[in-house]
Amino acid sequence: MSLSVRQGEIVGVVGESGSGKTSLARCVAGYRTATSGTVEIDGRVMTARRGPLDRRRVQMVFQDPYASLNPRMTVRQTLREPVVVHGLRAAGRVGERVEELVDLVGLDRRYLDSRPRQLSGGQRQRASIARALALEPEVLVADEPVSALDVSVQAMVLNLLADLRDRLGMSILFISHDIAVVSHLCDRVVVMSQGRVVETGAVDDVFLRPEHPYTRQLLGAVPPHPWSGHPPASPGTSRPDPSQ
Amino acid sequence: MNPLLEVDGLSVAAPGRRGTTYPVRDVSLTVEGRGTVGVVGESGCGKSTLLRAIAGVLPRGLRAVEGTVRVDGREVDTRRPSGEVAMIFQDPMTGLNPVMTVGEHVAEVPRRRDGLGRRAAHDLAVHLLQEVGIEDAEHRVDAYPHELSGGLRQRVLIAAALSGSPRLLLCDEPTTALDVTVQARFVALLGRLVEDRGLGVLYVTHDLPLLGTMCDRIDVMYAGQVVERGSTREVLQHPAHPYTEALLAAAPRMDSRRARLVSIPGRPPVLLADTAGCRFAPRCPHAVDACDAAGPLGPGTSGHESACVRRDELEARSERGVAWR
Repeated sequence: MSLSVRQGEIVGVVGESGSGKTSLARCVAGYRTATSGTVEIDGRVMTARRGPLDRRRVQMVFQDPYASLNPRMTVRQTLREPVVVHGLRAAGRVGERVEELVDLVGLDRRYLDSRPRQLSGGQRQRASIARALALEPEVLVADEPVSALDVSVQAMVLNLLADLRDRLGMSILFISHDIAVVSHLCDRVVVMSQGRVVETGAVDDVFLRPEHPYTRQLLGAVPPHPWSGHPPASPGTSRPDPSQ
Repeated sequence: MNPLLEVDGLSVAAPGRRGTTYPVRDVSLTVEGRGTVGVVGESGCGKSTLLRAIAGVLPRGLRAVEGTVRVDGREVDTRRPSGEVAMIFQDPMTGLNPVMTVGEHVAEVPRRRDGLGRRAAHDLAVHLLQEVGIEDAEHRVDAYPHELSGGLRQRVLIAAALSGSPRLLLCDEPTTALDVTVQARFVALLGRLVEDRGLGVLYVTHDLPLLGTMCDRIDVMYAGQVVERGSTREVLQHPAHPYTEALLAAAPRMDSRRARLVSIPGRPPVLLADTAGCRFAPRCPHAVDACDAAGPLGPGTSGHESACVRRDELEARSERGVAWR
């Protein structure tokens, strides 16, 4: 299979379990090697064993932030480590960078010394996105980053990913089995089935005018959003938010 | 006639170091036979604890301290499972024992409780697997869980739940781990079982669009209490509580792309003592001083109940289809 992600674009990959979405994500991120074919970032072919510079260029965000963050490290330690190991800041300026990172993902600085179990699901996923951003990657690979989250928290993380695209020009490969989420967030979509791409194109084209029967079948299974009402006023306007 | 399930004033207490908390506080609800009721809310709102109390499988340390649970008019003991109530859980991977075959799972209750013989248990298992739409049931009955896909495992769990001939089926987010197509088939199967067996279903999820496709009525739960209740149509089209509205606005929709989703700031409170007033008020964009004295669920139009002090304004707004502040 072949696909491309442009700068500042979110490309969604949808398909059922076993369709090869996660294998694709892991090949792009360099966690496993493809049997044949290549991954290129900005025209440069990624070799099977990536050097530190190449590893930095693609970072991954996982489904379950509880499993992918070290439970014994505070947020500060988790974010310091990649910055120090890759020598991205002079020793005296690492702390400053860590604060920049939590600001970037909208995590309050007072959680810097918290461990994952002291954070809510949404805060944990923000911390793991901040860790991915610590290496200043060009591409983020997000494998089902919101499917373990409550709908209210999911909304927060989706807004954050959209912001990263719009403000930093981040390129994101977004793997999900949730069609409504992909339709909401992504610019283009790749529909996978049994390890192959069956349809690809702009989200509006593919989801409004699906051509492949498999895409139609997927779309037909999505429960319609039942509410035609107006979105409410932005929350938190009349009283201070207790969590922030 | 009695409703199939009648929960009246149920409270579940969890004693802790910092005092007793109440994951479920004064909840009343009913489910009719041949009916499906959805319970929706975020994690930590007490949905799963409510189901576990009804099923008589509360985790150690939690107990029902007030209220009653009646099935078919008879009170059931919340400290032990009853044969009339079956429950299926979220994760089909952990709900099955890896060293038991599908048939052993499905027929375990009839074998142990009713003393069914090996041969009869095998036949019953095949029959139940066929009823939940598993093809090739004669062979699948001898398979082990690791040989099955997630969707098939979930069907095996339903077959096992049906083996005790329950009247009421409790579902705790059973499709969260499944693909949309598998989820759609699962929902269709539930609908068929409700019709064929006259089952009552109480279905817990945080997915409001999903409930819209399968439930007759919806109860919205927040911080251990029911804050809104009504027919699926009423609740989803004319939400009369800001929490319901917020849940709807947070769900991405296919027909309006790129709009910012509305997230709900903060998280559900931990329920220490009896807090007076509306528990959602600290997170609510429409909170006013009167919220501190808000009462329990009250009636609105057409049997649609809400605990919000401004429910009339909310409903009026959604009728007119205009933004409300």
